[in-house]
Amino acid sequence: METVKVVVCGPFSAGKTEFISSISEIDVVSTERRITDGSRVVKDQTTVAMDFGRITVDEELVLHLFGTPGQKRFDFMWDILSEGMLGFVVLVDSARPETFREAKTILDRFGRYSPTPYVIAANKQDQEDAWPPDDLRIALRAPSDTKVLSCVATDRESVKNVLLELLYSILDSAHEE
Amino acid sequence: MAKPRTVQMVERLRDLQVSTPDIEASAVVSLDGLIMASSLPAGVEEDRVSAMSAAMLSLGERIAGELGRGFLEQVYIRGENGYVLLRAVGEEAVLTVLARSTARLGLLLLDMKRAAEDLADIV
Repeated sequence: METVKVVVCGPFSAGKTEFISSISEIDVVSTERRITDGSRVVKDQTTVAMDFGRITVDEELVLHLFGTPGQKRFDFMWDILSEGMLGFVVLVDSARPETFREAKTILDRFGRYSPTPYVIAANKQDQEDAWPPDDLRIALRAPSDTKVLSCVATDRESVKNVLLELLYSILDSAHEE
Repeated sequence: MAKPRTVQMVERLRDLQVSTPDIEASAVVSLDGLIMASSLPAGVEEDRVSAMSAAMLSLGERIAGELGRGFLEQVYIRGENGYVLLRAVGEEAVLTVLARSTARLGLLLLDMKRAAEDLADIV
């Protein structure tokens, strides 16, 4: 059996914990804590160490999903969690353009850890003011061959689609080698 | 008028360090990783200490719970040059202590327990 380690990264409140909870077949190991500073206006709880979930794709393939904390002060966890990853998802809240710059910084940082395939998931597409994936691609200055996928992290099918696309990219890059 | 809480907490941390001289630094951190009070030497980065404390305590709690060890009391890390010890302060905060390798661990843990109880009343 093959285990594929995938990291879900992205800015604060992009929906990373939700993304993993939607699809994991095990009770997610999450480390959510009540927020005590000004970012409480955005949401109540935040991840301080990691999320961990698992999905069995078929008899031969299991995905291990590791979600990072979004806030910069936990970036030492990014270093730890990126160890040994075979691909990563950059999750972005498409309705909060003020987080796009941070998303780009995170994308670049994870890209530097190792040259693994990645996809950008344009989350919260169910919200009215969400930027479409194509606009997000421009905002993040993503190359034309980078997959920028529409996503609603609360919807299992949508999350599944994002992960399958990443998996295809991982398999393609493995064939090229 | 009562002293501000931060001042009370810092005073309690200093008491702890006076009674146990092998402690090099101590801090009270909120569970989401923000510093509430600290007595850290220059060169120790407050933000790193607080974020790391919150992450470690949170993971420790999950591990203790899932592996049937119950409510987490403390996290103990020993490196070549000394200890990092964490202890929950009530339900909202963590007490983090950095100590030299020469520290007497039993006494240190006892002093930390007392300090954590006092701090829980201030937080």
